[in-house]
Amino acid sequence: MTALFALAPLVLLLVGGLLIMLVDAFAKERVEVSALVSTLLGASFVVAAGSLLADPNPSGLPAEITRYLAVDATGYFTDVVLTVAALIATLAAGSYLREHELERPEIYLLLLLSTFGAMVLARAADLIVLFIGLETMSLAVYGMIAMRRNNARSIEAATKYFLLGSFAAAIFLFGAALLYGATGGTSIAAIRDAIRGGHAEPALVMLGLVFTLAGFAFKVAAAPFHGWAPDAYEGAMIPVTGFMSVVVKAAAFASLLRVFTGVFGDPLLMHPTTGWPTLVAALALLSMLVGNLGALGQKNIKRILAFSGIAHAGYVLVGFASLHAVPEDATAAILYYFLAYAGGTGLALASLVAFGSKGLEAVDVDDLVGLGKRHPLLALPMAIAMLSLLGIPPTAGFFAKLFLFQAAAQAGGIFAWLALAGVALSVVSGFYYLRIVVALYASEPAEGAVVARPMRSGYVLLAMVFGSALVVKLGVMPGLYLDLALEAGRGLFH
Amino acid sequence: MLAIAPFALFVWASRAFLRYEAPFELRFPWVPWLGVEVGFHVDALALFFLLLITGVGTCVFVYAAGYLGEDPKRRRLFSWLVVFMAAMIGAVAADDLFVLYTFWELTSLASFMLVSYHHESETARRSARQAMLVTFGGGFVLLLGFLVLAGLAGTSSIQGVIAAAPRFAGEPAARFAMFCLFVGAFTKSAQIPFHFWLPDAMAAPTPVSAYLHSATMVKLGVYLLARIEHVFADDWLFGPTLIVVGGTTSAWAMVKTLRERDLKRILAWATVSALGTMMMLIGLPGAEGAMALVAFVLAHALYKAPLFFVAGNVDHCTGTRDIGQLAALARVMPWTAAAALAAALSMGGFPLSFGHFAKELIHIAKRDGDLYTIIGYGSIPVSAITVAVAAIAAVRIFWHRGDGSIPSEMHEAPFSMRIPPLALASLGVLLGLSPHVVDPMLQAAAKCITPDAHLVEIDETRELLGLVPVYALGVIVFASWDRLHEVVAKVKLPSFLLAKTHLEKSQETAVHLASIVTRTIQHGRLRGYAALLFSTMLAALALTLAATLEDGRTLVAHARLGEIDGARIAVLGACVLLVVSAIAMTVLRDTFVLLLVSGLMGLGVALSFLFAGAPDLALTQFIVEVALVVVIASVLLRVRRLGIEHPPTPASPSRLALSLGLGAAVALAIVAASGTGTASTALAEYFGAHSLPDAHGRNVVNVLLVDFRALDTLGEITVLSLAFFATARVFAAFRREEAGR
Repeated sequence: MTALFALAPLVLLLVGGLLIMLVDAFAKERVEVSALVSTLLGASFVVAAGSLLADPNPSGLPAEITRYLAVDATGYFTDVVLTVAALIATLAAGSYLREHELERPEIYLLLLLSTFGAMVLARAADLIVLFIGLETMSLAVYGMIAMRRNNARSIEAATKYFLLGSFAAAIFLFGAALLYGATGGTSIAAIRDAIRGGHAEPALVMLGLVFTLAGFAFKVAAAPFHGWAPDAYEGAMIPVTGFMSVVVKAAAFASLLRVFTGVFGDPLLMHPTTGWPTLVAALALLSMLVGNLGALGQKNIKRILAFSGIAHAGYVLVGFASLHAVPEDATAAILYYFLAYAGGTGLALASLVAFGSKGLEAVDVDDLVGLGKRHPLLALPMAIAMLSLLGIPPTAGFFAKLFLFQAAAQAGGIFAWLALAGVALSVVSGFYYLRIVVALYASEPAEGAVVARPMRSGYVLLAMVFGSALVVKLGVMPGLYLDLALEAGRGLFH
Repeated sequence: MLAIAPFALFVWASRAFLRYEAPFELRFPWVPWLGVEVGFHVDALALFFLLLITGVGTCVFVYAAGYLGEDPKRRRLFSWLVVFMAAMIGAVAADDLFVLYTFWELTSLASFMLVSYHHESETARRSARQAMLVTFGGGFVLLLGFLVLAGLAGTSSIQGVIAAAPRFAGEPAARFAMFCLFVGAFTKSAQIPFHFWLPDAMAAPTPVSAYLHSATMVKLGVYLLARIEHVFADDWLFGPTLIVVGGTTSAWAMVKTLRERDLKRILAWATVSALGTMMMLIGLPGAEGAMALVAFVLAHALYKAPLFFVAGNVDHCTGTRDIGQLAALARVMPWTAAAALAAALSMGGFPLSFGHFAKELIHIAKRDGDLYTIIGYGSIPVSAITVAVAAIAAVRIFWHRGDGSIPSEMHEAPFSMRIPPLALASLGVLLGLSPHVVDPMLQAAAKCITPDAHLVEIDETRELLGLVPVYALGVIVFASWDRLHEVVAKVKLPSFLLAKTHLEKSQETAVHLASIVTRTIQHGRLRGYAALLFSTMLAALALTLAATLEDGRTLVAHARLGEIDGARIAVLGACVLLVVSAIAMTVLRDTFVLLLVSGLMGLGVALSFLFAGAPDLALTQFIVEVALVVVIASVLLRVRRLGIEHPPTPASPSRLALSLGLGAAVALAIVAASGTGTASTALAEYFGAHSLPDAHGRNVVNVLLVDFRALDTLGEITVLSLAFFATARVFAAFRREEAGR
């Protein structure tokens, strides 16, 4: 029972999701699934946050649970991030689907199950559980993208993502199999112990590392495994884009954190020049380059956010590359970054939902022109989100970037240069983030241009208020959240 | 009404200054992890700037009330002005580098919102965009400098950094930080080559120009460098860099004034020039520089803000700011004319004005040290043009008889627009009459920059004599302004010399580069993405294998081939079947044949299972393969009938090489893995020994499924049946949908 309570955020989602499915299937009248699902996600968020504050590292849990699913502060922290992102996406979907007459209850249920899979992935302490979580999350996302069946872009996006995702999953699985072959275990602890004890063939471990890293790199859309991201983000409906850009990325990163500090936490494998930090640094640099340069030429905001997501994956990878030098600080910085990124990106896409109405979506930068003049309050969250993603104080993104680059600077050597590259490319990112702010506040629509007409809907407004509050709070008073991230980071190194 | 807030703050700051003894501090933790705290350190320098911000702020708020009248958007402008003022106060009071940075960026943001206020005009929008890019870009560089500085000093408190400065002086990282800070300060204070945004920002409403772009915000860069001068003062590049950049800016901006006809833009260029002088003063060695700087900052605020107000009044009443069309306005706008005259006296540095006092101090500071005599001479034309600009703003448009092209139904500006310029300008004159009133204040502030700052005795006659050439030249420039303007305006600078074009060009280049990147790797073709994915994997694998070559050799040596027997030969045969069909798939073109060959591959896998001792698994695999082939074939038949089939593209050599390479690498990895088998056989032995005695079954697999792991099987069946029902429901929904059509 204690285990059930300790895992309440996950259990709530799973049981609640199944119940909603049943209710929807058998109810005579139309059920407000969006409200039910967001309530459930909200409850899960509250429980996760409560656990994080009250008892982040419960003890006395049966080993049958902890061997497969970690129950620690890190887990609760990622739960909070994932539920926040899922909640914003659900609320946005609640408005979006109705406004554009695409309402289908399956989307919410897929979203719920995908979140559940993401939570399992983020907590997995065993490679098999990890894979199950990964696929639960991914399959649901493929389905969500394909939900607009009569839209060619949607189908194309889903097909691409599905095929490439399957390749990536196979690559990951192969890596896991190699690790099993090398060590005879599937749980992170067992593999770690075998490697530490010198019972594993180093070359095989190295191969396993490369394969698993590639699998994760695909899921977090790090260059050069990013190809699918812009197309998939563009083809998906806006709330789905918001969901996948945060939840999938954050869960995969959290899992990567567990695997790489656990399985590959060996000092030899983590050696700054001959170990994986160099590999990760290369991925980071490439992602920051591709993401920031790619976003410059884009007009579609979903694509801009896709490239921005690639760039942000690069920033987070800078933190991963510094794990070897300052493990606790870097972990805390990475975890904090998730929260900031979830707030910023979620808020941006929720705003984008709010800007469209009646079958007319606002997707291009040009669609936003002059919106800040016509609807100053409604446009503000979008501007806040852009400033946060850019990293301007006093928003969440500033401290997130500061902590990450600080950790990299402490790691020294090539990692300090990586931080420098990160700052320089952040300047580049100003070009495309600020372009949106400029479009909102300092532009006038051309004669006869179609201007975005924002919708009137409570759900998305709620999401925007929630997201703005989070982003500003994280920027103005980051203390509490940072302490929680530190606490969560320490959990990994117990 | 809103002016009460800045006025109250102004009163408070004056009181604090009068009782000033020691700096007071306010601290509370912000991010304890990094040692960042919201620390405020209010010393005389900070108080001096606070007085400036709140004092000019009071006038700006009063003026804005009249200027905006019943403008529907006035609430927005006022709220951003308040935000800006708060940010400025925070920035000069902050004692933490990151807190300072936060407020610094907040002022940029406020500036952006205020410049884009007149969003109807294209120029306003473009200037807002430009100013934002320049100041935010500079802000990031500044942050980088702060990060390095905080890292060197081990603290992010400014006072702490100053105290720790001797420890890291001379380190290359410190010099790097210095140049980062330079870039930040130069972007904010509009120094070459980042100067162009300031005149363009004149698209903002007048109160904004007066407040942000002349009196306060643009002085933040000056403030920052003055504040941390101590840290870098020993670096031999500190002074010369500032003198060169500041001096060049100061001179160049004055040349640019000659190109302008718009009164506001003329004043803006004069501001850029003044900011350059301030930079130069920071760079000058000796204690006099600090004193001169503080005095000049005060004098500049007291004359430039009123002149902007004057320009606003003129614009408000006549509808134009073109100095060619303005003449003889003193008759209709006597109050404004008086304010302009008072301010111009100070700007021109005429005796008995505060501007004169500041100018004398500047001259003394420059005279110190032979090397800088040249600068002193070089500044004569700059001062001369300043005099001319002052004369234009005060004499030409108000007293000079022009063509009389102004409309006759003109009137003086409303009361609230007359008082602020008059108040500030007359203060400038009054202080000039007895500069000793503010002496203690200036000295206290200057002491925060250089501890040994003190008031120097001014040799009046010598100074006055020194001013003669300046005024002579100034009168000449004023008299021949129109002719000079024509000449200078004709000169077209080659575009590579214009910083603005470089900014625009770099934007274009970046976008161009981006489009190349996007076109080459983001083409939208699935096959290309997959190829990229696999070639990266291949490269990574090859690298890893090469890196562990020594181990790799031992690995392959480990591989156990075991004894050759019939079963093994059969497995080998199955593998050959697999390999052959895999290769065949890459060259075949007909979809049906492809499908059949893929079935063959499945058969190969099944056979290898069969002969490796897993008949049940082989059976399952076989059934799955057959079912798959049948299902896909039926779909393909339908597709063929619809005629929408795409023939698969022929195999390209590169793709073939990629597949072969990846296959080889993976095979190598598998061979390597098979050599290190550590898999436990304990479970297999247990089930083999216990299935007959415990569960009475000869088929171990069956016993396993329905006995040992019965609960798992039950779960599986449940899930399967649930999935069946779900699928059935989905199909039912489809049918309903189709029936509905």
